[in-house]
Amino acid sequence: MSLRFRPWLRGICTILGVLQIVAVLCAFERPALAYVDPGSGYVFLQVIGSMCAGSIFYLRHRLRRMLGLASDGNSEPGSDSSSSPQE
Amino acid sequence: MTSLASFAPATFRDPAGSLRIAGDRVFRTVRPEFAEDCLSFLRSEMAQSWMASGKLVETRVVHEARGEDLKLEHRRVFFPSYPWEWTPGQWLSAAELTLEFAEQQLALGRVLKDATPLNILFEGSNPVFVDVLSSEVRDLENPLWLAYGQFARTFLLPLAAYKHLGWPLSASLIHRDGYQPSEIYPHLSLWSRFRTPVLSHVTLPHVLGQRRSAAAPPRNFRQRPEVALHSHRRRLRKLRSAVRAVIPTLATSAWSDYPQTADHYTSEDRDQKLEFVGRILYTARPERVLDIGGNTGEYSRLAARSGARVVSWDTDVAAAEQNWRAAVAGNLAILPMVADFARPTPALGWRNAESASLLERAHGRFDLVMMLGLIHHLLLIDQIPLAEIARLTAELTTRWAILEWIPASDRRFVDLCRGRDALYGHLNEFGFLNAFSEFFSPVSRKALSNGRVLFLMLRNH
Repeated sequence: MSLRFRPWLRGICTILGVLQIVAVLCAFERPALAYVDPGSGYVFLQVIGSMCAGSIFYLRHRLRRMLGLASDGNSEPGSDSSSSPQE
Repeated sequence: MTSLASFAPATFRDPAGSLRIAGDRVFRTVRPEFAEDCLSFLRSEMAQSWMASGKLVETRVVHEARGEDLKLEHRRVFFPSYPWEWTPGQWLSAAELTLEFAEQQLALGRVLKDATPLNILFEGSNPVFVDVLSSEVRDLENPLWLAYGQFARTFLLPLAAYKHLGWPLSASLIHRDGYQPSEIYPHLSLWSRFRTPVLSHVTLPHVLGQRRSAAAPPRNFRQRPEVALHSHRRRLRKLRSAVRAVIPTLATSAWSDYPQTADHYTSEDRDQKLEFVGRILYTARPERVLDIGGNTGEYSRLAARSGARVVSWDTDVAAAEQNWRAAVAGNLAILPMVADFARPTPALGWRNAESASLLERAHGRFDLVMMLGLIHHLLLIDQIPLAEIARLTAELTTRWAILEWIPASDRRFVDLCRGRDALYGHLNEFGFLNAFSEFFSPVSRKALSNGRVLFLMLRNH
């Protein structure tokens, strides 16, 4: 891809990132599924924590593949982000 | 136990079912739509091995029919205790069992749907997970643990408040769902707010919770199953570290050092007292012993080694904690509790029927009650008349009592009397025996050289 499109791409990525965060926040407004109070702050933290854990998992897996240490090709995360919320 | 209390529902908040205690038996009813899932868990290898090792309450199916309530019966734990009666070590032990249970659930494709200390009871010094309905099938693509907030509020935050603010763990009695981060946050120092794990479990949830006050968990936040599993495991690992980080180091108090600093006992007195109590325990062979004012558990351990199941009450947290640690180290059947004989834990919860009072639980449960070095405290500090002490003792034991009478000339008696000689100075051994004679008959008497007198008494029937 030519270099002059990069600012475009960066802009699109930024918008997608913002939309992703908005999507997560919108999802918070849905009713709770548990009979115990999940706690607003704790849910938000878990979402962030799960995203981080997913990213680490993904990166570690990619690194292992690069180094030829992966034991199971079936567990490779797909091209869709493994940690992104799906609205 | 009254007939009303005997049949009142003990737990009912879980929509999947309820629990009832009828006399000495514990029954759980599971609604038809949850029956199959519950049975699938109970018949899993994990549940069976946990029951065999005593970490999960033994459960048998009483009635099972399609479309009908599932009826279960649990083995009754000898003496139920509640988190507000636990030492910090018991809290840690209960938290670790909860996290271990949650971890093992993941491998079964299940998840813990509630995570509160009320899911745990103690059999002696061993924690037992008692809520078999807490396990449910997990959505394999959901990385969120909905009970995470409850675990933080009911385990982590009370422990953090105890460590950083000195708020007693017994205050959990008035906080059924633990502390909210916003209750603790304003009281923490700036330094504490940014320390691990307070930052992640108090400060950040407080700040985020303020911004998103009406938030509910997102339904469509999904991850690939292996990634979601990784997120769950990572979270449990971090929670385990967080719980260990908020356990305070072993504290001391005037009472926790009492066995070493009690200078009103010579070593000869101490040996004679141990010999007297030990001889009774090994000849009477009680099965269930209540040690009231058990301190660090010197005599509780003697009773446990003689083969009895022991419950040991003391008001001093540091002393009870030492008792607990020694019981764990020696693998002894002792349940230390932070409990006050003069101000016993009340019944709590809906209709006062969710948690039984201390005396309701103790009534007639023991065949031997020990009150060593305690009666003068009840008399002089709590101002309980001797006849009342005798009456309540008789309600707790079905057979024996080992009592220590401290004469008015004793240094400790004089210290506690603090000039109220007109009220208490006349009390003597004769008056003590007279007060107890309505309920007990003395069987054996041993006078120590320091003037204190030990009695073995047999309950009148």
